[in-house]
Amino acid sequence: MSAPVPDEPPSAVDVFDEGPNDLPITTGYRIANQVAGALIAIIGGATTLEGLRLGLDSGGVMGPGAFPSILGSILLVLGVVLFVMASVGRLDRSHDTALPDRGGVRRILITALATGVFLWALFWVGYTIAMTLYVFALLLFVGQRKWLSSAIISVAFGAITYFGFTVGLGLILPTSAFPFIRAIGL
Amino acid sequence: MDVFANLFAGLVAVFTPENLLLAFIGCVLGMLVGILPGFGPAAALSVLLPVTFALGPVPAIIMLAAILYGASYGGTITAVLLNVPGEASSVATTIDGYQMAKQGRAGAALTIAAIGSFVGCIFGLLGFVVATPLSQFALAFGPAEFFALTIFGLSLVIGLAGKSMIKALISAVIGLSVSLVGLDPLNGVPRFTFDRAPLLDGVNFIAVVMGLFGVSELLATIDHANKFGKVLPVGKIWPTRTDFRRSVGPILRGAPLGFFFGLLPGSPGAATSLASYVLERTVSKRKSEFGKGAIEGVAGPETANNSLAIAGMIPLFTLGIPTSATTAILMGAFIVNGLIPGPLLFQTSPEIPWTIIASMFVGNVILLILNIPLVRVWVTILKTPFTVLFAIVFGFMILGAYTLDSSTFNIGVMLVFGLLGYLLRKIDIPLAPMALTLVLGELMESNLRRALALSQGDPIIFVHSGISLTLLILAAVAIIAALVGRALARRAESRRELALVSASAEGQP
Repeated sequence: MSAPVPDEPPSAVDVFDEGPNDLPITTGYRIANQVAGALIAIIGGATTLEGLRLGLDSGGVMGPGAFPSILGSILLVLGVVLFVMASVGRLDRSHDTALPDRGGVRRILITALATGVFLWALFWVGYTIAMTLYVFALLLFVGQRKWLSSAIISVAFGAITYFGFTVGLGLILPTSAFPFIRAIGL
Repeated sequence: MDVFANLFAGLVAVFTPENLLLAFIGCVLGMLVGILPGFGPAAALSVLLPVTFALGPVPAIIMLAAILYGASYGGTITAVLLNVPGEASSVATTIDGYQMAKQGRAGAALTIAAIGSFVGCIFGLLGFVVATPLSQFALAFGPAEFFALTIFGLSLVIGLAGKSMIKALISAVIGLSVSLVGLDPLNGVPRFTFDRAPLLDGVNFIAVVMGLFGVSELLATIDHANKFGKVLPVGKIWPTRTDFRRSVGPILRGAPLGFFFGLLPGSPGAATSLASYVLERTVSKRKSEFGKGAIEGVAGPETANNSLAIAGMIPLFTLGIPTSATTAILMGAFIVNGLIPGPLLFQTSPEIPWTIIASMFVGNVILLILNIPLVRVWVTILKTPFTVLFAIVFGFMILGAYTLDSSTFNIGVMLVFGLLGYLLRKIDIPLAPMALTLVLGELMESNLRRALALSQGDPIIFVHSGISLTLLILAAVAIIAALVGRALARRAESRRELALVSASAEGQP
């Protein structure tokens, strides 16, 4: 029996159905799935053990550890299944899984670093200064915008959010640990 | 008649300057965030949740609902002008919407999409109002029935699964596991708190979804340069008379189609809008225009996915179970504001759900009024360099996470889950099942244990009650139906691949 042949040329919707965004399964993707499967299995095992430690039974009824043990066991099995699936190459791969390019890695690392510095600086210099500098850093180094426009946007953002949240919504945001900065209301 | 009297009372309650203003602001904010490329309603809702904290429960939910449908329309704008769907359900819109934009008819596509969305929402809301008596039925629920209900909710995960069921289940179990953190709901024993006092109250749901959907989306967007194309010009805003005439049928077919798909457990938005697209292509006399800028290909899917979005809220409001990532986030917002969605809310404080439902009618009218004249404004915002939007949205999310309980702990939670979400995306583990099970986890465990305590450990309690048994059977049917559907879809896909291979082989010399 011959296979049916479409009577019309494929349209955009047919192309969509076929999943144009699927990427080839690479060794790296398989290894990433294997690592994920192994980690999930380990976390599942640890959750099960912690559940057993908490106790499956409490006065004749289900104890605080029973549900974690059930979930941990399921996670353990699913992790092993994912590992096996990745090992035998039974995987699908969507466009979302594309690895970041070099610039992307740089942008992500800068964002992480700036966020870390922001969290450290928040209680030293207060919300308004820390947030202004944080947004400035993201605009300048991630967005690669010019100094002046970065400065204007970040100062406006810091000021608007500070007044919006403190005056508009009545929330308290951190002020500086330094008295001379606190003295000017920051 | 009570239903319509309650709705009328809700409408009266909505018409306060404060509520109208909040619905308006919600629509605008939702659209602003929704037009960020790749940002769907779930991400927009999670980013903007903190804005609502200082408001009372009802104003907060009114604003959040407005953010939800505002963001949904924002996703349509990017689908038409950038060929980037804001959410999965806008995928069908990109096919003909973007082609229309390339022909200089983006304005007509967006206006028809706005009208279709409005009709879809109103149809969905009318169905919603008619369905609310379902909540009476849920008043008879005890722990066994609630546990069965959560199992039914979990069965929806299959509908949210992408290509891999195993990965969807992993996501769901991770969500349930995260919900274990904190004091055990019955005995008060600390679990998985690692001796950290802030974890005794559990992991903050809002911080988790802000990370999973907001931070991970932002990271995914900046990890490649030049991901998005140029924004196309809008052209003439008002559609021609022919456009209107050609859109009436698709809109009238899309509204009920989306609504009934929305009632099916775990019905994904992309499948619904594509079903509407295929339906329109099948019934159209101009099949050859599809894929090249047929307005029917925008009108039908946009109406269907908005009708579906409203229908998807019915289980949340009547039974207290979310059916998608967005309704899970909305449920989290209810809980944060001290409200438990479900039958008891209709019983104890009917004015609250009815005011919220009424606000959706009003919000959709506001959205329609805003959409058409302001299309060019949204396009101007869309032209703002993404890096500027990235910095502002990231800063805003950090601020939002801080305001959850005025500590940096939740910023850390958000960032950890943002990184986790980003890594899970990179191995194709879907995030929506996790959001769903995060809110269902505690409900599931506490009711399982209460039910077993009542029956002195005898699991027969779960099939003893008719309601519980019915829900468990429905869950089983939903799982089997979804599995059969997936198997059939896979079979059809391989047959089509075979057909294409043999067709190309025949064409070769």
